[in-house]
Amino acid sequence: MTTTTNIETNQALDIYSTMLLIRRFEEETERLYQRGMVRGFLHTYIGEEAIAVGAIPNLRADDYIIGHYRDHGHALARGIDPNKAMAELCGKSTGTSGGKGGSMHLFDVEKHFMGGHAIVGGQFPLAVGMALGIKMKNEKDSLVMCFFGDGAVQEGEFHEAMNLASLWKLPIIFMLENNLYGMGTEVNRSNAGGENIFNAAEPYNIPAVQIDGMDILLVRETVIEGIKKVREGNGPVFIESMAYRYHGHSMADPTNYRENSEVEEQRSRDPIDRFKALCLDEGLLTSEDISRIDEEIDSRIQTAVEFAEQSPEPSLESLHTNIYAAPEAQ
Amino acid sequence: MATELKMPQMGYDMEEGTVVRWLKEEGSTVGRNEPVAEIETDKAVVEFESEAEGVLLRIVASEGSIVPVGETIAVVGLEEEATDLISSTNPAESSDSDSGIENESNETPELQGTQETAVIVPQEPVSNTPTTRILATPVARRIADEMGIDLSQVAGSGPGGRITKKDVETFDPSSSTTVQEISFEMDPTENSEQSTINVSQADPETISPSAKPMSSDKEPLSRMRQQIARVTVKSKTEKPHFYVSAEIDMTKAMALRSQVNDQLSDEGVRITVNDLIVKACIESLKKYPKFNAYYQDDGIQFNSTINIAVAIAEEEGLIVPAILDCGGKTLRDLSQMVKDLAQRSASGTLNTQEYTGGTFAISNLGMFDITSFLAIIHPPQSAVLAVGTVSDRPVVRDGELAIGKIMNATISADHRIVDGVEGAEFLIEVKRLLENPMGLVV
Amino acid sequence: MTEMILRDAMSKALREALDTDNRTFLMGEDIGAYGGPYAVTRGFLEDYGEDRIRDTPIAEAVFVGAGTGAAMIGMRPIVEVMTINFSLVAIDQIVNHAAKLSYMSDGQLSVPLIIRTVTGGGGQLGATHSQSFENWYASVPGLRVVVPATPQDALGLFRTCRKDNNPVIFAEHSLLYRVRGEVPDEYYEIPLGKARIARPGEDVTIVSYSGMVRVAEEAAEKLDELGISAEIIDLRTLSPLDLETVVESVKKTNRAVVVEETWKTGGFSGTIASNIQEAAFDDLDGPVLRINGPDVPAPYARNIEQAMIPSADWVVESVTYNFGL
Repeated sequence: MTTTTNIETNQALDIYSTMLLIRRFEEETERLYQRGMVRGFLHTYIGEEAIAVGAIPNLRADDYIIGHYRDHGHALARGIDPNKAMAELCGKSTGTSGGKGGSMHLFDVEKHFMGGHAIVGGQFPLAVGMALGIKMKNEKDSLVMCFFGDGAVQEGEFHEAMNLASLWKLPIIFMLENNLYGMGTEVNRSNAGGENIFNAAEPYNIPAVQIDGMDILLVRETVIEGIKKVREGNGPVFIESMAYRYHGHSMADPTNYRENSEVEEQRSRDPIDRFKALCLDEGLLTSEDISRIDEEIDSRIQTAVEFAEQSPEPSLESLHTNIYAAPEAQ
Repeated sequence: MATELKMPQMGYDMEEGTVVRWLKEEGSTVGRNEPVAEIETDKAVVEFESEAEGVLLRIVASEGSIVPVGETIAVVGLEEEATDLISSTNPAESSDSDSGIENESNETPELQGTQETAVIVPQEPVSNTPTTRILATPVARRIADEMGIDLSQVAGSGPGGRITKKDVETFDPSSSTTVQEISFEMDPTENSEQSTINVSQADPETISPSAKPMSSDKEPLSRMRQQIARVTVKSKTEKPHFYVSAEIDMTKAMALRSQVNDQLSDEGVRITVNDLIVKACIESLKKYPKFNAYYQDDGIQFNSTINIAVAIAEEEGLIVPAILDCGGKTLRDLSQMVKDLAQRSASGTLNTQEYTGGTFAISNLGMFDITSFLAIIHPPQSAVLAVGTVSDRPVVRDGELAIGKIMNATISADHRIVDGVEGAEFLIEVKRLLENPMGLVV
Repeated sequence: MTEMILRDAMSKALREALDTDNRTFLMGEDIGAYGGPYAVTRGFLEDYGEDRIRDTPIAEAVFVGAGTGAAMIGMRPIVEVMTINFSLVAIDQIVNHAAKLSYMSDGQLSVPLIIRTVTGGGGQLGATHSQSFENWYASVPGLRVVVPATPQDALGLFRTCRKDNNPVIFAEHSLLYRVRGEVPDEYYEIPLGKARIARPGEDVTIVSYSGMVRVAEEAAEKLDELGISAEIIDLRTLSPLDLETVVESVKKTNRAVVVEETWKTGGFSGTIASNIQEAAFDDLDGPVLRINGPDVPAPYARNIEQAMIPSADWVVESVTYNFGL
């Protein structure tokens, strides 16, 4: 674990508030789910904030992000308006997809946030395609950051994507968030190669590392290096971040597949707590900063909830809109 | 939900009807609007259609039973359905069966409608299945509806005997008086008003009693015969008939007729003597509308249209269908309408209104060389004109002997609504019109 | 006008795309070095280079999905799935991703991806290589399904697909590549969702598409000898579907038969027949007939394989019997 930092106060403030924003947002959505305002599937990122916040702020505006259904953290880290994200989860017309996508399908194409995908492993070919598009356009050294979990690597598309990305030297950072459980199945029960999944990159000739995903500064450093490498145009890199989700796979999960003691142990490594402690220690942040940010975030979340509550539902007409895109102008 | 079929209201004054014959048996399938029985009213025997599709679960009113309008006569439903929801039994005035719900005894004598009527010719291919549902494609039904074609007359060339568009479009009504094998098609010759009973047989060709040996057999009454019996008895017991006769000099009328026919023959116009008489009656009825009215207990019911019932001889007997709404028609129109009526009655495609809607009748025995006769009024009408032959007779004109073409006309009228003087006035008006016939063509 | 075979019309269409739009590139198995499994892209690698003519690994899911991904950020890729049978390997990418991204993003994303694929049976290729799934795809909202039967239609429809910003399943029938036809020399496009009256007639409407248009034409000739005038409608696209032309024709002829190669159960002819029946019930002179292949996997042996593909005789028999003609 990093004990010293090479960041400055303003960066520390950003990092802390972004992680806290995600944490509070996720906690709130769980409450809203219990109230029946958020429905369907809800997968929260609680415990894994360090990965999204460690990685995404280092990307450029012209880079692309794509991932899986546990996407609120990535979306918020990318700067999606919490109001719109909250409204989307509540199925309102003011949501990022007008209420038609839901929790698992957050999109903000302007910010190059390309979803939010519910089919496990479905995002791999899309990531490959975007990277291919970047390469073919040959305009900038943009890249694609593709998030996925330890379950997704079991899908064939993972291997197909790794193969093709490497073969065609595509600019992708494969960001594995290994929280040790594919829904209810512990990783060693489903991955023949065991829990150190970064080894899977080797046959594809993709450089890979494994890090503690609950150490925000470590994630940040690793990703910065990975970005640099990918922008050189020599093909993809693979970063495995070990993490833990404190809550179940989703709201529907009774979590009878793991021990409470394990959860407690992981909580003791909480990324936000650790970062806070470190910053206070090193004098990067004061306790007043912390309090103030705590309050600001709480208030921000409240605003988002109110916004979602007061927003209207989608119109009936919207059921039929945007199934097809309009044709190109002549 | 089973459906109760009830005795229909088939005439404004109908209070009860007689179930003459069931066309379907209990347990047979019935289509919507498919005829299931023959019901007789005062005026006619008419086909009664089922309003529901399903199985004829129970016949409540047996053949011959008289049932008040609105009472149940049968039940149609799904095979599984119970029929204990039948609302009423029939007050059996039926002479030939007890009409308790549970045991309809169909004791009525074998009705011999079809075998006596030579007009019915089964046309091949009569390929419908015995369930007697008319199979026709949607477009065939639509076209048949638009063209007024009775699908039961049409042979189907589609699979299973289904009637197709082509079948309907090429259907020639005059070439077939076809019936399906249930052969319970309403026989037009039986669905007639039998009031104008004639002293002799309808068709001269069948008048040859000498050809038949004397027999002591009992000939069963045909449906038509039964009906005639019923209706004439009713007429005579109900209406106090009186008669007024006049002799009409038809010389000018006949001359005018020749002239008209000569001049317009290439337009297909062929006026008959009867046409002239029809026209004269129409005009007279306009002046004396009581002769176009019906007697009712609470008043004289006038009719807004004049529907002249014209006696038409069929092989089986006489029918008296009406040409409808004659009031505004020219002589030429009337002539055509009568011809058309005769044609359609031969093919059995007259509609109910034509059978039952007459307001005044004319019966003409002129072709049999009869001088005069008294006709029986057909309910609910109030009068009938009986016309004899036109024969050359010596007459006095302007003080001189001449040969006149003289025809006797006798009006029978219902004394409940008109008196002798009115009868005379009516008849003299007819006479006047025929003797000054230009008024008929103008 | 120039006479050409359908294969050449497709080559022309692809070259035109590559020549005029540098956002376009091709991806698929053996399209480059091999010259294309159906020779459509022969010479393309030499002419356009390996950047734009990309031979892919045998991995339908990733390269169809890659087509989607590239389209998501503004490229206009044309992906070739060797046969529609193999599209099943990528069906998740087609149905769950390509078809749905516009909707799930509420219009933020569009997927201007053309998936060219070969469909149909009759070549004794066995059960897994002889199927036609364009009817499955036609029922997925968000996809276009295009099924040309002539060279002129292939070229004209393809041009329209290039401008349509939606994922397209462009199904070329394996036995139609050698079909000859006149193709206009001047530029033309054929809109999606507009059926073609391949043969005008009065007595019966035969609705068909792709490989079955030829069968319909043969049937029409035979019916003609029997004095029955058949009107043939070539649907050209299953999605969007031109029901209007079909219904109008049936209202005129009063008789309809839909001819489709694939299995009867679940065949698109069911959708079409049902729609005809709803719209033109009172104009029907008989049931709306469906001629489809029987519900059997395709066998290898020639005689029995032929027995499962609708032929003109099937159509003639059914029409004459059911309509009493």
